[in-house]
Amino acid sequence: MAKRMTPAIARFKKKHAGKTIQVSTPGKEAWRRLRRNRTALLGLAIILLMLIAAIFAGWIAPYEYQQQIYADAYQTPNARHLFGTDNFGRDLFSRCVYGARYSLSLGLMCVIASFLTGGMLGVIAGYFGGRVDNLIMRFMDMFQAIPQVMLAISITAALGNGIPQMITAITVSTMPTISKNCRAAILNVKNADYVESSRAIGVGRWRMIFRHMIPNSVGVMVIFVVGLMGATINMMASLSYLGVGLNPPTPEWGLILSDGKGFFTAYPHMVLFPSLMILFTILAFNMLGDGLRDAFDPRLK
Amino acid sequence: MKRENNDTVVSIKDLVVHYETHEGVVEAVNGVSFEIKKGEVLGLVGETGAGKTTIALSIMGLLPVPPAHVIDGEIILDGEILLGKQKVQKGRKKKDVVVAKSNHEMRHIRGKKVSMIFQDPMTALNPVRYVGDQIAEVVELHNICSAKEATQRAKEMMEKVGIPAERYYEYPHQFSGGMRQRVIIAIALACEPELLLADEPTTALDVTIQAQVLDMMRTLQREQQTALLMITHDLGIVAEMCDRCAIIYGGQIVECGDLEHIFDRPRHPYTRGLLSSIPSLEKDVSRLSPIPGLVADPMDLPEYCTFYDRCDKHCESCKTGDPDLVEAEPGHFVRCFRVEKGSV
Amino acid sequence: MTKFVLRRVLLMIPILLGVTLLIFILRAVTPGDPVDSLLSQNATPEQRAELREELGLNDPLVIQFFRYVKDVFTGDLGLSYSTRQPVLGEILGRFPYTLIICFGAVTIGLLLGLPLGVFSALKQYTWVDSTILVLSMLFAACPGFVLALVLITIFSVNLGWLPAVGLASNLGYILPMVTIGVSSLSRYTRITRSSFLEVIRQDYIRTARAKGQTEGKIIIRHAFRNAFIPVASSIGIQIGHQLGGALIVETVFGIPGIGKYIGDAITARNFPSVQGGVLFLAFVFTLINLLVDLSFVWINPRLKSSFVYESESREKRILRKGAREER
Repeated sequence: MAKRMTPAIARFKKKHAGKTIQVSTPGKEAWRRLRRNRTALLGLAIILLMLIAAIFAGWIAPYEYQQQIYADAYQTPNARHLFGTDNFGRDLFSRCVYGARYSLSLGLMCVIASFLTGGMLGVIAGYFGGRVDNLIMRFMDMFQAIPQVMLAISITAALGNGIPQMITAITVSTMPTISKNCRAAILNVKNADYVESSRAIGVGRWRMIFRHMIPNSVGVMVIFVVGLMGATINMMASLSYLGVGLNPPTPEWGLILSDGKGFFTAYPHMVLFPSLMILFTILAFNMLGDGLRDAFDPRLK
Repeated sequence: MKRENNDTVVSIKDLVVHYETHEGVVEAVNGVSFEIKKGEVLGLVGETGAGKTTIALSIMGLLPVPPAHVIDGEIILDGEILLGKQKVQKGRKKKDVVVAKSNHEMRHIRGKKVSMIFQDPMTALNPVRYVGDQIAEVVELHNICSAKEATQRAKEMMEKVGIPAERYYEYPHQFSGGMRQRVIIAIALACEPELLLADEPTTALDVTIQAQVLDMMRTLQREQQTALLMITHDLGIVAEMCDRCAIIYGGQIVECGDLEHIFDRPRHPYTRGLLSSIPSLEKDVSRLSPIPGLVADPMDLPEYCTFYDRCDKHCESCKTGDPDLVEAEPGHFVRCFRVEKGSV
Repeated sequence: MTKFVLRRVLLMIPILLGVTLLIFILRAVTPGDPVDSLLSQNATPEQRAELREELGLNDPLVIQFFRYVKDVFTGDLGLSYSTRQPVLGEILGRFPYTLIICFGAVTIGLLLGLPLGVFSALKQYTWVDSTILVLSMLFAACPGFVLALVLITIFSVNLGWLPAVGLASNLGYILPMVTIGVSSLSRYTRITRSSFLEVIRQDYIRTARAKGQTEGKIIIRHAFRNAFIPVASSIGIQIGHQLGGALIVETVFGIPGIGKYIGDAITARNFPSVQGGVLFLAFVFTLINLLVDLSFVWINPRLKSSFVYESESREKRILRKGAREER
């Protein structure tokens, strides 16, 4: 059959002559959609602000976080002490700024630890399936039978206070959810047609995992990490509030709040500012997480 | 406002529907007119994106507004104006505005006078309700009757479409695709509507099931003397089911006529292209001849003949404008300059 | 169906055994000698040895574990270090308070969350929708104790309408219920909203419109039950959050429920009480989850037949496995 040249084909050829075709990757698409989402951008901005506070705490904070100026105790917010002072005369603004460093880095460490343990277990369970899957998931069911905060508290109660202890407690208590989510993400990709078809053309196991499965589940995992940051900071603050987890005078927000709760009827600022820090940080992570979910899966919007 | 010709069930005139999206205006339907008489089956054939479903949804009054906008046109169903132009006082001038029946009014027409069968039987039924109840629902809505009578009628309809009435209390997921489509057909025909719109009713089904379902539809349609608009992209189904056929391309009817006109004496290059793309058992051709190029982009339709870009018989004069639908022989309409000029 | 229920009930046993093991391990790794907490500073070594023997602390850990399991099965969760009373009795005495608060919280969450979510979805892109979304986001992000302090400030300190602490009157239940309820309320609202928006775009809603059904009935008859499915599957998790939240909220409001019991026991390093309380809550939580899952089968008919056809899916699995091995 002779090749027929119709105007449409001609026009197409002319339009694309000398032009490389722009391929839009799912990641770029998602970023484009995220940029249009004002709530998500606001969340991102707050997180960046907190990050700056955390990194440059030494320059931003006018006082050291444990510095006690007895003459200045019980001050309400003023020009010298932006957020006021507490019963020991410590500057609450400085404590909150240093708090960002503690809360964010501890939160991040917890999330990384949960991913390395729970996430990996989930990926293994999802990928291998069968008996391995069953074993890991029953193990997780066991942890999940205890309400999260309760589990974290009983672990810290047993291990005692301290940073590594608290990270362990939070990691263990978030492990079941994260492993189930990672497993679901992997299963989702594993049964997708493109994985099935690359298997059919003989792609090897590791190439399959690294070139197909992980890149295609990254979106879900990113959303999950961001959401988990919020939940972790929340839990950390709750533990500190109850007096388990960290020891004073660590300027973790929950602990600052806990220190101030005895005075909150008379000096509400001691509770207000750390509360706001906690609230806005969690809110920011949730907003960004929601925005990411919409960006990666526009159908859900 | 009754019309003279009582035989005509539905008549559509110059229907123009656009979708206004962020990326641009999609000109889905551009001046489509046709009529269907009582008991008649009209096939509406076209590729994906030709505007077939939009036409059906306009009749149902179920266009998603926004983004869809009816720009122009008139739809009359059984003497009732569903969509039409009205003089509306706008400022000092009187203006023609296309007015559709309100949703409230349409509710009494949908399901009773006009029904629709959707393309995908897997998703068209509510997964958490008994199939029987879903059939009874439409009866209860339109034939003011007791729940018991409605149930009885639903069971009757199930038997009619070939499902044992015992399966009334089952959920859609317990049915196969073909059986679900039967349920949907039962819903559509339960109130004996004047007009049935079937939007690719068998595309999602296996070929053997397809034949059964089509056969059943044809029997019921004859029995109830329903006018049927059969939307499809399969000319085989048209040959099987229809009395008349309209070929639609780029939101316009390019050729329309009786079956013999379309199959034996096609005049429009597109219709010919479609026919030569069908594999044939009789003729031993080594290759099919597909139509080159892609369907006209409804977001970027040309000023001239929409098929020009893919037409292998186009000439310079084809670019001068949009051809009209002309009667090539009694009852056979074609939209092509070459037919207009009498050169084919 | 009966088989499914039975299987789920039997599955509870290994999970609870696992929880018991977990708690036992936690007890074993806890530094410090429990005898120190039980006896006064000036107890003689003989007294200490005697008590160790009495508590079975000299036996190997494995034997201690089995004894603990046996005790748990006979309803013996040990003696509280601080009161020397059986832990189970103390827990049962305090559980009703927690139950009432959690029940109130679930009611607030579901009764308000579902309609709000539907309403918000129906008003999508309007200021009503945005307001509901922003508020629910704010409340979802708010830790329980922060919300509790805010509510106390407003309703107890400033307005003086409700008591800040204790259960002197039944009014004392309101603030704790609201505190826990609001956070799950905002979650239910958001889940309902997004699932409703998803459902309303489904083909079967269009089918219902094509039948000539009214919008109101489409929402009630066709959309709502489908939209409820994802909400129902989150109820179990939410109840877990609420039980955990009870611990914090009871501590803030001074409610003598299980949460406060565990909280106090942690501060006093009273481990039998901590472990007994956690084990008891795990039991309740697992039981509730079982009930939620069973009602889920009723809500989503597709699940029911997936149990009926379970053998079929097993067959499919074998087929798929065979295909994989061939490759």
